[in-house]
Amino acid sequence: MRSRISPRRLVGLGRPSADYRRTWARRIHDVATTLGRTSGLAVQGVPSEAELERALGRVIHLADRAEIWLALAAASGQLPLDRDVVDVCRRAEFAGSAPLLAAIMSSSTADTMQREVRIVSDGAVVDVHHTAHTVLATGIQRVARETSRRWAAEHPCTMVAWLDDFVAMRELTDLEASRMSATSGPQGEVTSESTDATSDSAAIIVPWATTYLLPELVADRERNRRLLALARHSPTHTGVIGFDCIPLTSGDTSDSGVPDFFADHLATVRHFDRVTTISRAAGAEYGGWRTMLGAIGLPGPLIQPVLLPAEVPSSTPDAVRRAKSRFVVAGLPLVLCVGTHEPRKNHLALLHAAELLWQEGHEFSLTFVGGHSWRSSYFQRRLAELQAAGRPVESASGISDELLWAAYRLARCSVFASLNEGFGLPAAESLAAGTPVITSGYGSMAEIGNDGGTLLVDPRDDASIQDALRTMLVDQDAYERLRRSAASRPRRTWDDYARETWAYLTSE
Amino acid sequence: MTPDAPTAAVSAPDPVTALDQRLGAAAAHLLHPAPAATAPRRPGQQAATLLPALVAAYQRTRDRESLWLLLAAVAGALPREEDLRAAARYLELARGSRAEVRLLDIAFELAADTHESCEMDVVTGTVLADVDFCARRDFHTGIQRVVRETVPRWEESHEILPVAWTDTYTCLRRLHAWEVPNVMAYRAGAGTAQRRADHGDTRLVLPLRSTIVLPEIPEPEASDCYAALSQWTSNRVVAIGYDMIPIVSADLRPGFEATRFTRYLNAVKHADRVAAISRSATAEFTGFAQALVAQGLRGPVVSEVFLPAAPPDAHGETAAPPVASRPENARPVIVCVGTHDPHKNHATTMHAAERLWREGLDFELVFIGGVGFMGPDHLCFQDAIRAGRPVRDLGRVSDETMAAEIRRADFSVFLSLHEGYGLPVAEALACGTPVLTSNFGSLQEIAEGGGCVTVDPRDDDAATDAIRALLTDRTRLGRLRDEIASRPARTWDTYAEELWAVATEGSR
Repeated sequence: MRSRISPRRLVGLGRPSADYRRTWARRIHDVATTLGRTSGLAVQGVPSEAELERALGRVIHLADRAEIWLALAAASGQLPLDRDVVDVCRRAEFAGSAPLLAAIMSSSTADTMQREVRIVSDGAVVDVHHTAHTVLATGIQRVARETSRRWAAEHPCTMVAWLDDFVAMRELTDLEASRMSATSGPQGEVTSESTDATSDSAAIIVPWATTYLLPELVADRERNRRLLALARHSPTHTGVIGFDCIPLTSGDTSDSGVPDFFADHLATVRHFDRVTTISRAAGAEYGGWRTMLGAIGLPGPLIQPVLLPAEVPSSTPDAVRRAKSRFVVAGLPLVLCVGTHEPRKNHLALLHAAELLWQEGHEFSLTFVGGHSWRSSYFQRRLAELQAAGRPVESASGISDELLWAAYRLARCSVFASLNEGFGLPAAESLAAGTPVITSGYGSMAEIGNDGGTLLVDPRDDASIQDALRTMLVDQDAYERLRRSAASRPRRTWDDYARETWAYLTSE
Repeated sequence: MTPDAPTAAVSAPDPVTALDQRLGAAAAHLLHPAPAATAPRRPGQQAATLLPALVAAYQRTRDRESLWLLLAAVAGALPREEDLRAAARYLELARGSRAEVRLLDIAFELAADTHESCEMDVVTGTVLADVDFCARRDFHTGIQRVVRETVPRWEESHEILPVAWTDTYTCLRRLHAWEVPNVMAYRAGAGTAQRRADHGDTRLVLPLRSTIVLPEIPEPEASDCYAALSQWTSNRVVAIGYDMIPIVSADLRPGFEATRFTRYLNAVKHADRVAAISRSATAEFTGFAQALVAQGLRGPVVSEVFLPAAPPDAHGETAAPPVASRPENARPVIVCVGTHDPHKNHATTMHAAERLWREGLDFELVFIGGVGFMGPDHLCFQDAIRAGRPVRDLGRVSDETMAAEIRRADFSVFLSLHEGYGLPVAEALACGTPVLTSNFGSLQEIAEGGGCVTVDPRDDDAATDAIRALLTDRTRLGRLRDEIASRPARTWDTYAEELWAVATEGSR
């Protein structure tokens, strides 16, 4: 079968233009400088292919896979794949630098050739591609944004995103940089996914012998494969935040395709130096995965949990007033449940426990805050049935952080009885607002609950949730004690988290 | 009716009569005293009497297994977790005919995909083996070999009920007559010829207080049913654990296998035991079980039952390996067996061979195995064949040809990066041929029995040195052959008995 010829590969097939040869010469010169060597190429000249090949032979130790990685990445502008590095290195044994130049030429595209390539060896490279593309406020993006901007404020850092086809990292555009420093938008709302035109000229970043930090999950196969080669072959120290292994351990609650990119992500992280997990429970998941690596004779990364913080800024009287008119049913205590409506969040158990308590004659309103999601139809149906029966229950989405934080403060209690969480942000946020929580008695939710203000339940047992909610509603003494211990919990801030994760991830 | 006789379409019972029968079978286990058997009456009359009694009986006890059996009997399909939770919640809230209607609603949705109405047998205290894939298909590689060597041996010495799934993967059933030889007396090409669309009645099987062995990877729908069965019933589920390549080595696979595999892991998550086929598989399933603590689960007890090995042409009988008789000074032959998938790492063997030919060594390299998912453009030996190197690619061959080639070879090289077991190594040893293989996991484990040399398969120099040593040191090769002769014999009989002991340990 003949290879498909796409326009971007023509560079490698036809005779490269003088412009391209001049660009490669400049880039090989930069690689030489980085390695403390000289290329022997004239600075302003237009070298022939033979001259480029000889220069590569002088600059690069061809048996060194790290240097092959650097030459491929920095000269073509495209981060190489694992098999490209190995293959070029093997061919170079028999054919010198010719296969290296051929690989550089064939992976140079119009896009990677028109950009500047910058080799970064000073300061950390922080990869915030997905976070910089959205103002999504939930979960991983929130952690990545709050953490990376504090890292960048305290330490020399280059924040990077990726080219649209995920073949290389580039500097952020002004818009992306402003997103990284902006405060977050409404829960579950994407206000803008678009990239700005200036990304077309953003310089390509090649980290070399520095620190690369990844505070987000990589959901693209191409990006994962190129990061894998970086982690495996280049001398850069690599660190990543590990959120959870739910797509692996609760695959039944993940949308189709999610386990696939997650398995790709794990294959990449296999070659990283350090993982900091957002809870001890997530640490146990990553630890179990590292045990699996025994099957392939690899040690895997070091793993250290650093518990996430939850900060809830104080609410203005106006926000409280608006939240009151939005959420509170006159005279009824408010029970709040925050989280998307996917089955893993276990909202159906809470609906059932609430119905049993309403039948017992208890009076309270129940509000769900969170977006629709994968397989939420069961929840929607049951919610509609209870509403039709006149129960004071509702579901709200698109709520701003300000309104949500006020709602936490107005609530009698929160319920977050999820089946599996890497952290359990809604439980931690409710407690930070001083409002007691009913949450699951294991994993990260129990870790959060350990500091007080919490009733722990078995989320697989509706009666356990029902009993806890009854206690919150009717046992005033117990309730006051929970409120007091919620208020006296130790405060943990994003500053704490950013400092501890930086210290761990950047240690050699 | 004989399986071969052309038959008219078998008259399946009409849906109402089948429902009468299924509720009768459930009532025999759920109602105390069991209702007396009565003469056949109007279709539907038995169901109309039994359904209220069964629902009321469940509502008195709220026994989880009763609900599972009741729902399965009404639907003629095995319920999933969400079905059971919904049914339990509705039956806690509703009474009388409203409760029955709710149950019928759920059962109706559960049965929506089925296109046959079937009678069912409740079996208790039985060991079942789910052999769905082998029963249906004339396909015989790794997993099917294990099934067809093990289950017939169990049938000889123990009581065993082989089961498959309905075509919609909604319920367990007895095997059809034409399927039995596919499992119990397999001959390549013999089974499916007898397949009949009109295979006779399908009889559903509902196990109680039984052990269900999963020697295959169940279909995703079946895995969901097993997860629920494990949690709601007193049945034990025991899985054979093969490997977690789709999770641990996703970077070397096509990128779509993890979604399906994690559905299987949902069944494993709630299983009682896993009998892992090797040290590698034990590490992988143990790691998975460790990760489950984050969701408050213990996970299965994992233990190793190491697979046996026979020559590829043995077909169950243990044949003594014939001594290879080749002229002393003939050109040495290296055989390399396995599909050309990236994780098999044949490229490393190829590269080492090229180095050694350039050193002046004379030997032939023979590849046996299919093209693999990367397609014919990525076969590692193409350059060498073009260059006139003594390389032969046999592609896929019969078991007899493979065994002959392995016996003819001086030694075999198998530097795989990930194996659940490593059949090519075990088979070469069973043929009396020494093996160079990887120094970790199951490959190292097989090697420890003698007749092998192990190296780091990610180290080209180590692989080259090891192959050179085996090519140039005839006495060493002779010693390895002697080691093979004194390897402890491990037979399918031993494996089947050890697996039976693990599967039935602690069962009633």
